[in-house]
Amino acid sequence: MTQTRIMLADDHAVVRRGLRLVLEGEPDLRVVAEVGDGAEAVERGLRDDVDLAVLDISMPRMTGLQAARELTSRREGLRVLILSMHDNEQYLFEALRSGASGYVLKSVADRDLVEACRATMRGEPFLYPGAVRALMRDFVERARRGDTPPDDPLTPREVEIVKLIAEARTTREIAGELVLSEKTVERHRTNILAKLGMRDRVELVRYAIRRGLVEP
Amino acid sequence: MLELVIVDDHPAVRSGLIGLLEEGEGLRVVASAATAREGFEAIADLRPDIALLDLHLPDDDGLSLCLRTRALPMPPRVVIYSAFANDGLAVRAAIAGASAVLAKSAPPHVLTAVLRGEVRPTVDPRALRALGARLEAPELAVLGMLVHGVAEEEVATTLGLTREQALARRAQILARLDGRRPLAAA
Repeated sequence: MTQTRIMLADDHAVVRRGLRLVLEGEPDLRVVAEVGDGAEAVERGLRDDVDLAVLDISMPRMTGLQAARELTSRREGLRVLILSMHDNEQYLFEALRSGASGYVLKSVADRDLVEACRATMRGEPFLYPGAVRALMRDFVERARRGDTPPDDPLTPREVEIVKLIAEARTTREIAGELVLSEKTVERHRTNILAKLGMRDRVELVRYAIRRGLVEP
Repeated sequence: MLELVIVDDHPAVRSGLIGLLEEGEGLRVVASAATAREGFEAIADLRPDIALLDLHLPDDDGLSLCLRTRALPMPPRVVIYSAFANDGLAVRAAIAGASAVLAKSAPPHVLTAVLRGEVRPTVDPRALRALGARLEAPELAVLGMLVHGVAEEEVATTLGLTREQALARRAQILARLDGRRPLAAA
């Protein structure tokens, strides 16, 4: 039997422990790596021998969505599941857009996670019933209005910077984290504010919360 | 051996805590519940030494469950467990009768130390002033005593209130701090 090698990413050690117990009760699933933030998830996910990354949606340094985007674009064949405490359409849509093949609610993780892992490895999407309804409603509404989904005004790099700004990091810290010059960070910041039509950090933080980049 | 009841709506948190505490010495989970209602029943029936209560529960909030728990005869110590632990929450938790607030991001050794009661919680004076500014004078007296660790019975006696009246007063203070309309005095 081939075992699925799983990386677990959640900033809470207790939650990781619980998820590990859920997964390791199954003979076909094995947790081979545990990480506590999104940046570490990208690092290990690209380097280690893993088949599936289970990423909590809200983590420090880099969200699960950002990490998912990095991992799915840079490592072909790696599957990603997003774990979330939010039964929220916007997060769900963002998760699918970031390349994740499933969205699992933490409140029912004991019931759904194992099935989600197996479905993902079979190449099928995993969505909870409420998520399927939300997607169908969205699809029907868009079809009626005749629109195409709006593009994200920000580039993935800009989204990364928004998150770090909202976490109250200084320009210098952001520059260090992303290996950019402080000047480049400043320029990104100006562009972001212009694109979003915002004036200051306070508005940006509110935007980051709405998009699920940071916790309120 | 200290006995513990866990109330948290996330199954991964419940099983993670049980797994973690099984290894440590001196703490044993006797029940875990996903809702405030089940949790309160388990606490009332099993009389644990400690109750670990999630702040956000589907049917109630952890602080009001804490108040009801502390109203039981020989109540357990209560620790509030939250992903959003901050100084303001520490003050509100003290009003609810909790002995500590624990961040969900706390590493396992801190978790066990807080549960065992080895860490004395401190209240940030700025958070205390900020919340105190929103209270009336009689409420401030209650707040002051509780955050300074005066026993709950003694607070009631000092103010010439019955146990029930003192609890109702504390529920009112919490409601006011949460921006809810205070309930009519019981």
